[in-house]
Amino acid sequence: MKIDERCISCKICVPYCPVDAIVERESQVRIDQDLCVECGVCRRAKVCPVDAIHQPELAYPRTLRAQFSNPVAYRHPTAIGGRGTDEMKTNDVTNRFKLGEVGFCIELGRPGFGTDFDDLEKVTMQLTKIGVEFEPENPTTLLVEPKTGRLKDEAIRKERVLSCIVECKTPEEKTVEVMKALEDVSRRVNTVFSVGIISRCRNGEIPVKLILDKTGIKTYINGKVNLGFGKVGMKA
Amino acid sequence: MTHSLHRLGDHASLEKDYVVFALTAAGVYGKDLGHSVGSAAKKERFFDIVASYHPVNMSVSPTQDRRRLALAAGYTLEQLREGICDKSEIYSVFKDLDSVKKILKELKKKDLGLSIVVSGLFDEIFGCCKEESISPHTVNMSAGILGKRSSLPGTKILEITTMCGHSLVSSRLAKHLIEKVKRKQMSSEAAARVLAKQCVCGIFNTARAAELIEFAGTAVKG
Repeated sequence: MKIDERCISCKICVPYCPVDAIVERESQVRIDQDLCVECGVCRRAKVCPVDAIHQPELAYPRTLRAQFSNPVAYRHPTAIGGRGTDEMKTNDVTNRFKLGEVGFCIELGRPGFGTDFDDLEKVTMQLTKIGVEFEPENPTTLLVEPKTGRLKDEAIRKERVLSCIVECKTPEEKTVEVMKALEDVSRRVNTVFSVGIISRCRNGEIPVKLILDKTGIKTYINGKVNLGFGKVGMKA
Repeated sequence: MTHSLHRLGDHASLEKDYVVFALTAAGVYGKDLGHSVGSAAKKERFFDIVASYHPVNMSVSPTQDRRRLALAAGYTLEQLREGICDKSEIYSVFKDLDSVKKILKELKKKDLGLSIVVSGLFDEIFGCCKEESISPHTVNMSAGILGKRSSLPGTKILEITTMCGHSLVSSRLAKHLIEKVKRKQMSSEAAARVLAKQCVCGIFNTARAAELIEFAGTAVKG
């Protein structure tokens, strides 16, 4: 995003930026291009009285910023829309996560902090060492080498995004190992990440929750529940 | 996409925050499962059910012309309904469990074949499921935030901003509006509406946000 010469330095737009990229320099309000994640919030907010905020044409690798940060951007350099898949939301139809498997959604930069792909690599390299199965339809999977977790393209390393999600799964018995690996890498990243754990239910219970409770790994009291109503071929 | 996960709050506050959504699988691993084909009519029926329980926010995305329409962005229920297509995902936000209970009961009876997900307190949702003899299929639990947590704003701000899973609601804006409410320059409801507009998916709970803004008054971390 950029602010053009029409700007009257009223600073109304400043608090809208989720990553504090709108800054005042030499009495002029500008968008710091290193910090800006191209989320488009400043423009969509429509608070600029002189319409000085605009979206310039982006070139790769900067296009990745918009793909991961702006939910209404439709150009996707990785050819996969948005930040992630339907994960468990349609699992009653896709069976992406089977009984005995546990899924992880590791969302770097969330909440509201932002991340670069250097930190993504730290996480994927750590997870590769313990042998998780990365989700093939997740856009971050396409950015890293499957065997090492290293970024495929060095040019994207310093690109910043509001968030990006690593999706992977393992057998249920590796749950604690993955959580320990995430704890370990959390000390080396320059960002925050939120962790989602996906599990099939069995007789109204959440088997993975029992494993987590035993090892003292806490989860929130709230989350998402797929009710199992999904079916293919139902008539309206 | 995990945008309704990781909403921060205590039990009492989260009792006023439920997201009910309907979607169809686009496909998996390159295989179209046919779940979306002809699903627009079913989604309209879902829409009519949830809309009748007065959601505090609601959205349809993507619409026939690929826009995202949300009540919080100023669109009407009629405009949202008109936008429904086979690929649509419909999100609805409620401030009470009772509405969710009734919705689940109706959805079970209608058996639309859509994937239905409820985001909220596990004990309450599982309680509803038990009452209605629904067997939950899959859950996504939050194991919280790791990494440089010390750089994050305070809990009171995060309780507000984490209601937008794409992090489009800035903590600075939340603080700014809380200050305005404190100085009686705007109401907490108006402040909540400004924040909700930034959340393009329409899952931001304006009613809960207004309460949190009112309450946050003196507890804002710099």
